[in-house]
Amino acid sequence: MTAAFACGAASGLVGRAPHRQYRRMERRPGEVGEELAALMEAVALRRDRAAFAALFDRLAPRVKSYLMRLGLDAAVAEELTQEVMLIVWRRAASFDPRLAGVSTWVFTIARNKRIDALRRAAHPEIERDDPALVPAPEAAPDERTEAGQWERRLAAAIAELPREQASLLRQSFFDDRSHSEIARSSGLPLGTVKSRLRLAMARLRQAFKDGPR
Amino acid sequence: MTRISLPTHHPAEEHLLDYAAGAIDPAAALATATHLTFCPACRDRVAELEAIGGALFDELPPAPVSAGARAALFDHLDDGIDPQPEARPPLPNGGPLLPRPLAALVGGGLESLPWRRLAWNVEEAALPVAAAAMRARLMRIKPGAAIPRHRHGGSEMVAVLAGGFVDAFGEHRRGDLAVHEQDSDHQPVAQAGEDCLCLVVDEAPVRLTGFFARWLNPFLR
Repeated sequence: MTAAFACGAASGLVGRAPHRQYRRMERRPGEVGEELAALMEAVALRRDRAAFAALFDRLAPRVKSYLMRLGLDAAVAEELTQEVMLIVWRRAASFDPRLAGVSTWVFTIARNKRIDALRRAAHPEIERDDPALVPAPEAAPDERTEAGQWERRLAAAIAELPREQASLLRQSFFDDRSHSEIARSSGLPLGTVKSRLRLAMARLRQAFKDGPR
Repeated sequence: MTRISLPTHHPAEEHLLDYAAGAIDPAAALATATHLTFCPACRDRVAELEAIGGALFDELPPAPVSAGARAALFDHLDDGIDPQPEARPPLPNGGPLLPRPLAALVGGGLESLPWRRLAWNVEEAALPVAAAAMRARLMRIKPGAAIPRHRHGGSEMVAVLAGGFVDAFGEHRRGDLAVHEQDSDHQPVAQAGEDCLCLVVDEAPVRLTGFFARWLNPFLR
């Protein structure tokens, strides 16, 4: 705690603004995505420790919660959370707000870290500089400029999903079970699981089609 | 004139969801990542699914991180920046350019793999995928060769890396991913021109279903 305080003080006045943003963030969750992106930029461009402290306080408890929800005990989850947040600090410059929101980016880092740690096998990620990569035919990236803001629309769209669809989505992301394993363990027919997931995703995809606002 | 064709056979939504959630078998993840390298449309779909993951992640009840762990991390922030992984050159196999996750497994090139001949015109090489319950292998089929009609005891994913094949589900070329559910029955024929090279990931041994081919079942693994 003291170390963190000292770091914040060392970055001086420049470091204070993100803290103010962070407090506002708690009051108005609708702006979380943009605030987090601004903090990421401060970390990437200026190695701003106060901005990172604000990111840590917002994201680390969710990373730990995610890992514990997936069955890790608190001590292991906390250790992996530190590793995830260290990656956030070190790779901040590779965060691209046009491709993903901050929560999404951190979620994928936590997902991959958990797979590495538990299975001792890497999640095969697509690397944008892979020579074998087939690029999108048109200038699709322009259409995706505000990816971070989708998270907000998505949260609202998820809240409106029928309960059984939202529950299946959470099981997919947080129970470490593939859709066919969910069908086996829940006793639901595989076709029912598939059709519920497809219905849920069709509804949520509408949130993407409607654009970020 | 070179034309990069885009895939026409894609994994279903629920397979991409399993991949985005990290709940997929590592061998199936490899087949999916292979397709994603070739398919910008499915990369967009995965980005959307990951955003759903991000939104759900954001809603999780926070689990407090101890002050000690937080302080320890801040003490390490100056330890240095991760070196960016160096750009690795494509494999010197003279064969098709392989997506990186697959190239990493193939290692020293296609010809260095332990190929095993299944028939005079079909060979396979097992790929060891760490922690995978499903089985991954490369299959190489001579142009025009037909694979005997067979049925799958579990699901199967076939990612085409070179050449192509035709079956009742249509024409499959580099980048396509065919997913066959349990008990589906098909008879692929490799297209003329070049060897058909595929990454095949499956759950259970296949059963040959043709009249004469049934006699061969005891000889298949």
